[in-house]
Amino acid sequence: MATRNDASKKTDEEKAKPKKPLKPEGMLEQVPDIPVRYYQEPAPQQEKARRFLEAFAAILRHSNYGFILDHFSRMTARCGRCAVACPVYQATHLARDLPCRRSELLLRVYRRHFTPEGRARARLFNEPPLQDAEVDEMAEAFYRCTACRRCNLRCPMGIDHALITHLGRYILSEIGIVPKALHVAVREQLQGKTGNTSAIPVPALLDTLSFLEDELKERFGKEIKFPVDVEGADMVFFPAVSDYLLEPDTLMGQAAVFFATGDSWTIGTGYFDGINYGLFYSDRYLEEIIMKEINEVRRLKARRILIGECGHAARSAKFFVPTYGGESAPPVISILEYTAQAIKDGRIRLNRDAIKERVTYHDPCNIARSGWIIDQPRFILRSFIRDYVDMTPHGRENYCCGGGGGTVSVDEIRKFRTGIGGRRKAEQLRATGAHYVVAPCANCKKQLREIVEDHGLDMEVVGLHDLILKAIVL
Amino acid sequence: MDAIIEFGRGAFFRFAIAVALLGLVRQMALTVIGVVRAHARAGDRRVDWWGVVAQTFVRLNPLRYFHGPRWVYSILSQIFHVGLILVPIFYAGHIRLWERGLGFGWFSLPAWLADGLTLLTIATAVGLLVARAASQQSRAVSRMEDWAVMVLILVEFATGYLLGHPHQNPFSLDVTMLVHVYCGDVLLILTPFSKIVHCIMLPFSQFVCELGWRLVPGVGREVVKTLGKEGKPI
Repeated sequence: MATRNDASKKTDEEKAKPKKPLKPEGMLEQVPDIPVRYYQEPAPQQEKARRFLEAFAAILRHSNYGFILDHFSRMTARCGRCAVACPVYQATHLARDLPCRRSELLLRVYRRHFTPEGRARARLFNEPPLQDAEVDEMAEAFYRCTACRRCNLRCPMGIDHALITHLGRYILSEIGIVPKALHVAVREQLQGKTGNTSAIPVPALLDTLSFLEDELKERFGKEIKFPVDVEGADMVFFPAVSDYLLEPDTLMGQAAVFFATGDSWTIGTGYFDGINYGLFYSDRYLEEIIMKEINEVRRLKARRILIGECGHAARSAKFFVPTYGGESAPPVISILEYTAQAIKDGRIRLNRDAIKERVTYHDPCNIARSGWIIDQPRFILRSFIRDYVDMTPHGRENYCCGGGGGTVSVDEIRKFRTGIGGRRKAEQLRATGAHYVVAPCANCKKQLREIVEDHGLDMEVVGLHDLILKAIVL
Repeated sequence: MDAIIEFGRGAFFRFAIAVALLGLVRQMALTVIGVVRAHARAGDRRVDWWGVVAQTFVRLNPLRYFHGPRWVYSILSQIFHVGLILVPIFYAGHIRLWERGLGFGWFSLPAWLADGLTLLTIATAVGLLVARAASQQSRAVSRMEDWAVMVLILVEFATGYLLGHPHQNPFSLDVTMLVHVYCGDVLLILTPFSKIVHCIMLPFSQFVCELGWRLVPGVGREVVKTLGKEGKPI
């Protein structure tokens, strides 16, 4: 594997040479498989299969999943078209990484135990019930999937394998099988003293904001504030809370945008975390976390929810605030939409000479797959970046960074994430020849930085507002 | 032999077609009821129904699958479906049988077209079987029904062609007719219970996918109650 040092020794001529375009879809060179083994909290190990079925039955009883599974289990053509769309399968070539085969792990349990035909067939052919080993197989399989939904683009029957992954993980979580990294974070967010996934107490948050304000004053010579607990503000800001620890430039770029537009926004000390791991593995936590966001907006009598640079935070708010918020659910806007509109309206000036290096853009799956946020960040970047290139493919057809579905938070599977799930992304990045890769998603950023390190790429991973911070004219 | 064939063309055929039609109607009704119920229970009921309809047509457009992964399989499948649907309904020989039973018929395909479509269906059925067997991805996910249904269809069309061209038939007329009739009956009976049901369910797929992520508020709480975990810490 090339090291970071080898890569940086390339001459300027070599770096400037246009890269051979990568075939947008197709198998990569097969790599040895890496099992996905994640730390879990202690949970009962006996009668896993029975408890799995109990949890499955309870979920089917109260949700709409039964109807969905009924449809999917009858419709699957088993044509294998989903296979080559999957970045994990492209790297491993293993049957178990076929999206439809993974979904079949759960669908066959559904058919066998929850349909009249399945139960009759089981009696007729003496089929065994669900076994513990099958539960273990699902426990790994559903976390090898990043839930990027690329397979759904290719499936002629329109089956959403990511929905089945989500359901599989939900059932497993109800019997105590979930990566510890995710579960501990959610516990702190919902039951802990700090109420957020990074365990940042409010005084630390205020200290951080004060520090960032000082930095902005030094940089721009202006009093650029992070408003806190402003009642009646238009927007309450929910970034990925880890941004307060790890992404000062992203936050400062966002504050600078608001300084330029003059619109009212605020951070609420009652709740300030946009992260929602419930989207990855539990409808229960998905709802509880969404309600925390809604309640904070109501507490501050604000109008809208503003999500920072985080793909899953944006998707969970955009698509599930209306689900759980009732008739008066606040509208949701992404900072990318906001900034793009502000540029269109001429309210932000950006220096086109600030960034000379080549820039590319990574589409976070959670906001791009549905088509929601694709053009806006490109509009922003093209408004001030002279040398911009897109990856192939991009937009709705983008490849997952390899850390989607919450897997990026599971450090112990880094080798799998960067060596297998992120292989295709590494090749895409390499092919652009870019210096900056913009990823407006906290999870994607972490994963891409690990890919850059593990694959020896000479690139810098930044948020979109990091570059805006460099270019904005105040 | 004649009695067995007549049974297959008579009472058993009527039974098979009843199972097929009632089964398809039942499946369609259950799907529509499922869509309506899922929508009623969803927390967010704002659905762009026309957008879903548009997406349905986009997905149903066969040309979409003529490039990208497994494009050969896709083209074979599309051609296969043309004959699969048209020949059983518009072949003159079948229409005469319907006229006998129902008292009315409808227009039929010219003989040369029916023959051509039959041969295409046979050729593409073989092609699809080979493509399924040759692809590691398809083999890994195929179940018994994926092979069995295709073989049945292949046999049905092959025997149908031979019945229409007795001078090319190396087997006895009675045996060919027996196989053709009972293969057809079995396929009809299997229709609502196998992947053939996609003929009625495919147009609903986009509605189902749209509603799949329209979660029901309060599910988490109810599940926790049902599992007796209320009040327990995370």
